[in-house]
Amino acid sequence: MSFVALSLPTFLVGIAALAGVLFALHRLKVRHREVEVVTTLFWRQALEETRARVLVERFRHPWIYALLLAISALLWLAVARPRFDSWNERATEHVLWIDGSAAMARGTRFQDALAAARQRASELPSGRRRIVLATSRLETLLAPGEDLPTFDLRISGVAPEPVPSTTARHALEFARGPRSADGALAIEVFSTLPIDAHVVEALPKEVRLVAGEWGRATNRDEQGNAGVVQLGLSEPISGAFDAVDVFVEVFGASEPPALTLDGAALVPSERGESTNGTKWFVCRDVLARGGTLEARLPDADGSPFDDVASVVLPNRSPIRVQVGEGVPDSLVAAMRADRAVEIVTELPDLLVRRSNGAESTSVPTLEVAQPAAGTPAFVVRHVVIEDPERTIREAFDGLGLRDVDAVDLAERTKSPIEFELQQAAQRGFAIRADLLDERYDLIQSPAFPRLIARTLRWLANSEAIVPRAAAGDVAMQDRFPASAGDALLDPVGGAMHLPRAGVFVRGDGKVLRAALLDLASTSAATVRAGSGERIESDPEIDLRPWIAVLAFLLLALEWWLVRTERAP
Amino acid sequence: MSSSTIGFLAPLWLTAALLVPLVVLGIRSRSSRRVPLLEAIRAFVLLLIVIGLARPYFVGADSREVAIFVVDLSKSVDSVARERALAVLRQARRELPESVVASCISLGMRIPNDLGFERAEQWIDETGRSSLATALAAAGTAIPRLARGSVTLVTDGRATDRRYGDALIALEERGIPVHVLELGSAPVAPHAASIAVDRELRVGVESEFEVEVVGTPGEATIELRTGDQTIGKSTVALGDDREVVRFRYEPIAPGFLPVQAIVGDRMFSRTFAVQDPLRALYIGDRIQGGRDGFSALVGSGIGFDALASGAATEGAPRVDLERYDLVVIDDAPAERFAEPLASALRQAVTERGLGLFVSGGEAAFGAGGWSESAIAGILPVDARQSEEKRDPSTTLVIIIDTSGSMGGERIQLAKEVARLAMSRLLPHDKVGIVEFYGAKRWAAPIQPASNTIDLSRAINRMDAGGGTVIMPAIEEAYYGMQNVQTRYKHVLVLTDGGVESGSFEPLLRRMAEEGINVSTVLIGPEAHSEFLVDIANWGKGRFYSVPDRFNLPEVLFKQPTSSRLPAYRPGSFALRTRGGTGWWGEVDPTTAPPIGGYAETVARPGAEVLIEIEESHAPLLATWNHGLGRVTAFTSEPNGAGTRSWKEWAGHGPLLARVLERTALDRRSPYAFDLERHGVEIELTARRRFATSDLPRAQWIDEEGQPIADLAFEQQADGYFVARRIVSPERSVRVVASTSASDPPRVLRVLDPFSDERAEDSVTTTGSLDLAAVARATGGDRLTFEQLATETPRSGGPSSARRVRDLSSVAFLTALLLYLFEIFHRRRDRSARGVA
Repeated sequence: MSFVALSLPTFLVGIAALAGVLFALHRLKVRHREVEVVTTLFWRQALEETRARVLVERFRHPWIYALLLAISALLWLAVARPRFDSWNERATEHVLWIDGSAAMARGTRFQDALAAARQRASELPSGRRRIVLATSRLETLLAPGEDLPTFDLRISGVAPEPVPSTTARHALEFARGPRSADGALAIEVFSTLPIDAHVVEALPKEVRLVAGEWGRATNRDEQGNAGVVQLGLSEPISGAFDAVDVFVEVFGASEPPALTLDGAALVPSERGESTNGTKWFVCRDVLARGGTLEARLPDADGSPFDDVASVVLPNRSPIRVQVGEGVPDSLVAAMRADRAVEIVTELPDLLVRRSNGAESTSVPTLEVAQPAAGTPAFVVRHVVIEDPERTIREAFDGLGLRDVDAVDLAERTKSPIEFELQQAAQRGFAIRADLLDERYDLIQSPAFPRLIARTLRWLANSEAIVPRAAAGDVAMQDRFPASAGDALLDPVGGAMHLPRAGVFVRGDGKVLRAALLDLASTSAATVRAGSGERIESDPEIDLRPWIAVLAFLLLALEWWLVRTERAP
Repeated sequence: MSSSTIGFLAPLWLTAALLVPLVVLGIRSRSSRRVPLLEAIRAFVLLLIVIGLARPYFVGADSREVAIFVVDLSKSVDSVARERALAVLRQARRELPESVVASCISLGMRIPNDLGFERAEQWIDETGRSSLATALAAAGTAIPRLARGSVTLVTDGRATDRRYGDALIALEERGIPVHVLELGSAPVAPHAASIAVDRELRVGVESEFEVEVVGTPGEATIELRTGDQTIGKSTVALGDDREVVRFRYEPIAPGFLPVQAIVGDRMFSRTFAVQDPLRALYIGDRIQGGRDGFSALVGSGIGFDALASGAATEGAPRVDLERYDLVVIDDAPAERFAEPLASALRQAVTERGLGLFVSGGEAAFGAGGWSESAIAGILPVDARQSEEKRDPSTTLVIIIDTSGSMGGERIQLAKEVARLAMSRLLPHDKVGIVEFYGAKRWAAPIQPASNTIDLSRAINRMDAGGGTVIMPAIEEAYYGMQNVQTRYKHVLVLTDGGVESGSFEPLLRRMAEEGINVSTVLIGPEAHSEFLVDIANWGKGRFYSVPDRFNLPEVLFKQPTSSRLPAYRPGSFALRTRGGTGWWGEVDPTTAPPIGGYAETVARPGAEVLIEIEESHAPLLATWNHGLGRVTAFTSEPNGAGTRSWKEWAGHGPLLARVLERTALDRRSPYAFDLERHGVEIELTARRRFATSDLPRAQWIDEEGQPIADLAFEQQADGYFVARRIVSPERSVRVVASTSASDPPRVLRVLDPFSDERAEDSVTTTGSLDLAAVARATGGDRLTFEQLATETPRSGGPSSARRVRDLSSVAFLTALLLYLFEIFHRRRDRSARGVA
């Protein structure tokens, strides 16, 4: 047992003090003065006016003392708020889970969920209940032991977010996360979205997850809803480097959304209908120059989150390459075969040249290095090298060096094939000239055009086409293309989910627009009144009311004893 | 709710207040009298108890802060650092002011009870995992919404997963700083941390396992096994904390291959998907049982289907090339192929990346007529070299009418025509010139056409004069040609048409029968001469009309023809080999025996010649990329007379298998499937590689191959599909992916349990959580042990936090104090009790 309001030592000291004080009071002896009165009529008045003298007398009436001590101790116990930890540890912990995703933004769903959770919380033991809100993150609205008015304070300003339901992910992580006790965990979810059966399967055996019980219907005054449920980009079928194909899918709307690229209208060239009732549209060869493409449905409806979706297109301008003197034909041919490359004579993005010393340039360079003793086969130059091992690994995978048959090259050239990482003022890549000799395998191999194509894109910092940016999607970071300071929202690397629909700025300064794009949120039906399930709670032994009532009764008893002169 | 509010949590108890006057005023003996003060005190005491039962609360400003300490006590942390961290935490807890509500989340083990935290949670995983991401997420959740707080992370940064982004973003958005204290890591004995492959495993294709060994510097022996079979053993000297050891392996059956890397007493396991063998279409029915022989030669890595007899002919049903990774044309003549199939092959190679292997001897390449096929252009060798265009030798006798009627412009025109006719001849042709002017004369006897100077002089000397008697001139030409050996013989008569009539027909017909043709040219403005036409007809030649110098005819008297050289060269030919291990693998190129025959070709520019005939430098094995595909030519029979000398050579089959495998398309499926695990979710993506109307399909199967569930794809972009599903991280996931096509190629994918995590003592320094970056991103501090022990963690979050204070304890305490006062009061004065 422990105490909520007091520490155990404090409680014990208090009990001891009470016993002592009461003991002292119990030994007070009341001695009366003799007062003469002229008539018995003044007896009562004389009694009342006579002051008793306080002296120590012998300890008498131990049962009275025990009663007084019991009353005082009960009151002190009520002050301390006793708690039975050992019993609580085995009891079921209840988590009332409020879905704060986009599906809850329609009508009064979210307010109803808050109310239903509060109502349910009032029926649960305060020490074993918790209310959480699952939006892009999981937040506690009411911690175990906290009182319901705290919940009222914490829901101030709370609202659903434009994010697909995170309940499955968060609930599993929560259920599998740190625990303070070994008891069962009961999660009641207040959401209009159904519980994913796979989530229930994946839960630990001591955890139950059910749809919470809604006390009232939530379909009041709800409008129908239409929304953009997909907006994706892909490499164009035409093969053009500086364009993307755009795929848009809508739910609940018969017409295509208004598509604009930086305000200019786009017209879909293909359209169709999916088996799930959605309609899709495709725009081919949309110029990819970093513009913002927006898909907007005409009418406002039940949910504002899915009426518009936008995406920032990659900037895929052709790479302007200036070729210097003496660059091998094989290299030039590989560049000419690349649709992304435009050979220019001025204002280049990149320079391809034979290395001629240490002279620096204002643009990244691809150099053909003169073979000499100690010249590495390949050199990658970075502006910032935070983690050499990772950078090397990324160079192998990102530039395609892994595909080069280094053993074969070494055998043929009779020289080691070494790779070197250098720090420089500009990005750069160097390849030893003799490797481009047609006697060797490299320029004939499929790895060669791939190596050159990827290197040019990396040097020019060309953007890859990311199929879509949607709230809740795992945003895998392709750290290599941007080298340093390129963390996508997450400053420490690793995978993460895009928190919600909106505009984000990446570490490298580029803007990222994430849209909702979730069919479940857009099409989510209302929940039926009275549906759901309640998980029975273990009875709570809250002693304080009983302690207080007992104290009250004992006080009444003691009052009776005093008033009937049965007690001193 | 207003800024300061008072209320009751259990207001129903307030009804008990009605009992208070009943008790206070109703209980007394008949003799006792009213004691207002005592009664008032007692009433207050009872009322306070009732109020306490009704649980009053007060809402006001909250000065409290929530401090969450996340303490990594997992086994990767150095034990000394761990003990020190616990000691410092104990001190830190003692030093924290009352206004700080401190909780602790420990990883790996339970923290001692005496640390004194309000709430202590622990995350202890039986498998030894310690997820800092999970702990940070729990810390964020433990700080209630709108509360101020801080997180103090005490760890070595070695986390079993890297999913901490979400938790850190959430803390950063809430303004809650994460302070960090870095602990040292415990030394770890060398062990295998991961196993990867350099390429997708496929039956019959050798791949390389890459075993990552981590641990303290020293020597370690790694054994790689699959089941009871040892793939390899290797000893490595760990210089740094990480080393990669490679083992070659060739799977023999498709499916899922469990692999174990054993270092010392620790074992690391991983399951790999082994793809089905390559599917090849064999075309080559010239050799009986050719497919089976070919298949036996290259082994199990490639499954061959033979093209049905007649399937390649015109009008046959379309061959579904999309089912195949490779097409092998083995010593098959081009004439067996209908143009649609050849074009489809070319298109599949160029646009889909289909591999094409063309081999053979007497019926292949030039001899097989492939040079005129649609496939010829994509071969790495030029088969046209085996054909020779022949310009047949010709003897031309020009009979020029130099009679008087040809005077002036006409004789000049005749000379022009004669010169033009001679210019069409090649040096090996012969020319003679006969003039007739009432008599006939050889202006130039029959001689090689290369004697252009003499012939020109002969023509220049001619002048018009005399009669027109043509018959003797033709006879002269006829007799002059009798002893000439050329393929064609031709007589060209240039005249203005005013010639004598006679019995030309028998002579001319005889000449024609003997292969001497006679053509006539009418010089002058007359457009037509029936007689000259007849002469041309009888002589099986042609009639031309030359009215002026601007209408000189293109005189045709021979047709070039082509004939095939004997392209196949039997014999014994020594070889010169090229190419690296990529093509040869374990086969030693220097051991290749001489070849028994080959079809002579020339390597095209850009083609890589792996084997050539030493003597002629003709390619025997050449390859190149064409479009998205690769085409390889082997100019002998892989399984016939040409390679009979290779039968005993151990490298024959392996080389051929390797060449076929490298030639074949390794991405037959129109979709690239990628399976990933993100914690509790798996994600299968299908990215379209080339145009197809088929949709991706996928099924989750169990270890026996029985279906568990279909994975439903949603299209997110044109040609980009994603299927997601919640799956417990403890479960392995095996997926068979394919398309909606009939008999589609299947792709296997597998995820082991916790496949996106690694044991924390396998986390290298560079793979650890960057604690400095965490502090920097969230506005936290990097702490020392002393700072942790003595300083209150700086909090963040909303500045106007409010809290609900429970006043029931205050009510009970007040009741107690009043009660004590009442006792004192009573004991002090007997009359106070109302006792007489």
